[in-house]
Amino acid sequence: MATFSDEQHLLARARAWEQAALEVIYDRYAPGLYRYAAHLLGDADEAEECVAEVFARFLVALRQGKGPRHHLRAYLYRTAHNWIYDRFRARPTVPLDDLWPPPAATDNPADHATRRWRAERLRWALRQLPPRQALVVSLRFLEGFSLEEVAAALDVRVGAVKALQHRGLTKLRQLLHEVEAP
Amino acid sequence: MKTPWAEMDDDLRPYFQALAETPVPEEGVERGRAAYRGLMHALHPPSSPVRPRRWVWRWALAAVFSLLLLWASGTVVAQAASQALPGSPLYPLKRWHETWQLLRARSPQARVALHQEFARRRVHEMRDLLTQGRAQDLTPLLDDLLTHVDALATLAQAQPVAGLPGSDLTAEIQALLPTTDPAYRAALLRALNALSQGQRFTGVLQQRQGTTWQVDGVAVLVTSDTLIQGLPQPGDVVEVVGEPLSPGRWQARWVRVAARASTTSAAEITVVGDIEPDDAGWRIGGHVFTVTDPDLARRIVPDTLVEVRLRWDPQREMWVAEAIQPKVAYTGRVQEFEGRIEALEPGRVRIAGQWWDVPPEAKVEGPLRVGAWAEVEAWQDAQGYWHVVEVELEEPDENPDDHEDDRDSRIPRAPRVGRPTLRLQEGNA
Repeated sequence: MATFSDEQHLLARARAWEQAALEVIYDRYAPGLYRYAAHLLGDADEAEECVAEVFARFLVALRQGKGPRHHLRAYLYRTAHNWIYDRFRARPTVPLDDLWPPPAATDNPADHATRRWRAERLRWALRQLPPRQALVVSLRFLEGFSLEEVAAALDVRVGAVKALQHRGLTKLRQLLHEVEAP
Repeated sequence: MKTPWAEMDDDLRPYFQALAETPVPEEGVERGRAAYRGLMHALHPPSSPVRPRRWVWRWALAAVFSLLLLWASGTVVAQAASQALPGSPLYPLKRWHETWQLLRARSPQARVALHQEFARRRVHEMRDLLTQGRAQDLTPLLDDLLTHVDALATLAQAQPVAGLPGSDLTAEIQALLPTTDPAYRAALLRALNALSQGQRFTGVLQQRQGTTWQVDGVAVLVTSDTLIQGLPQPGDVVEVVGEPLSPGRWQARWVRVAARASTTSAAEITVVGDIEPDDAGWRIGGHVFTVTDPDLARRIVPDTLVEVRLRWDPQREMWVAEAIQPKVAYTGRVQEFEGRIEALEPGRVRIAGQWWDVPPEAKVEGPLRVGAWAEVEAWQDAQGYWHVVEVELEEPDENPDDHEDDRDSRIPRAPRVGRPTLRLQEGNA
């Protein structure tokens, strides 16, 4: 059985429409993309829609001889991020997070509420950032992308990523502190 | 995954940890896999990526196709080919003829009409093939259908074009859905999705109030991204391009006057939205306007939420700001909770150990009394203050202990933010 440990190799096989490679791409990246979309959108159904659309666009791009030639993961996350921010623009209101279940019997209710509140505040604050700053900050600190991977996703140099990250974190701190200030 | 926490200050880290730890249900990935496989099987392997893009190539190809068509005795054969199905010797000629027609089309309207017609042909061909039990031959037709609907969506986004979206085409695709294999259904659904990107309707503009316009009873949301052409006034017939959000609500991408109701000379509107700089002055909710009053101009803070009263100046042919008022930014954070009233004091009520102010402006349904079960709705502004909108009281229960077990799980125990007192603003949530 073929192995696809190398992303570049995997992408080349996918471009040749090798179905095993296309399946591996979904299995490898869909869970992370789904988690990423769900965290930013706060809605599991919309996250599912986002992932479906990202992979549909990916397949159609390959079919048309377009799509990524390298940095597949970065390409998929950038597509997802664009979809999410299009959705933000289309629906300006922030829905309540539907992901958090009620606290379990073993949970401390106050801790549970605090974590949920923080998650919602950050989700709201990320929506206020310019999309490129939000992409850098969320890929770095929610998905653990390296600076080089984020640079590939944005098609910029690493120095520009550092600048966007700095501006994004500063703005986030300002937004979150404004909310918390008595 | 290694998150670079070291690059982040301690004050931000708990927020990111909380969001990263938010539980996510796993079923969505599994459901998506089935659709992905369906689309994967439905789509063709990639053909040659070389496509004619420049106009010289278009005309060169058009010339070649013209010669081929002439060689094939032109219209007579093309007519005969129009009814051909895949597998017929005449079918390639039918497709060549379509390509040739598209290459010759100069205006967007003509291209839209052709793409719609050819998409419809593919749907009819698919229906005929399914009738003949030839489901295995659908793939190239789906491929071409997607090409046409993608082109339609692109044309709709590029500029407003009359004739979109082809609701009959949508209906025909929907009619085909139940008869097709799940592997092909994903591609048909994608076609429907692409077509919905350019939906539009025409109706009488009944009212303009802030960012919501009433068009034939439909609430149309007009944001700063909406392109507004002409000066739509109540009574005018307007065309709206956008996406339906829910029954009776649309997000408008573009609004234009289709027909005037009367010759209105003076117009004044009030718009609420983020105020942004524009080449011609300022922009809010799709309206570009100028500010002639220097005092007013000095008070503008870009990218803030404001309410602007605009007057149409027929001499300048643009909007002029008459008044600008800052508005409280709505964060979208709405909280609804319920619990038993534990104590009452003038102007405030304690629910679940927390005091909430209930000034006279609050909408209170039912008499406030200790022991009553209350449903409270509040929203939070950008500064973190909570605005109580409504308190609804249920009738006292026969058994007051019924709700006791529910209370801890139903009442959010999020920490209070902002000032300890609540300001009331009815009807904004």
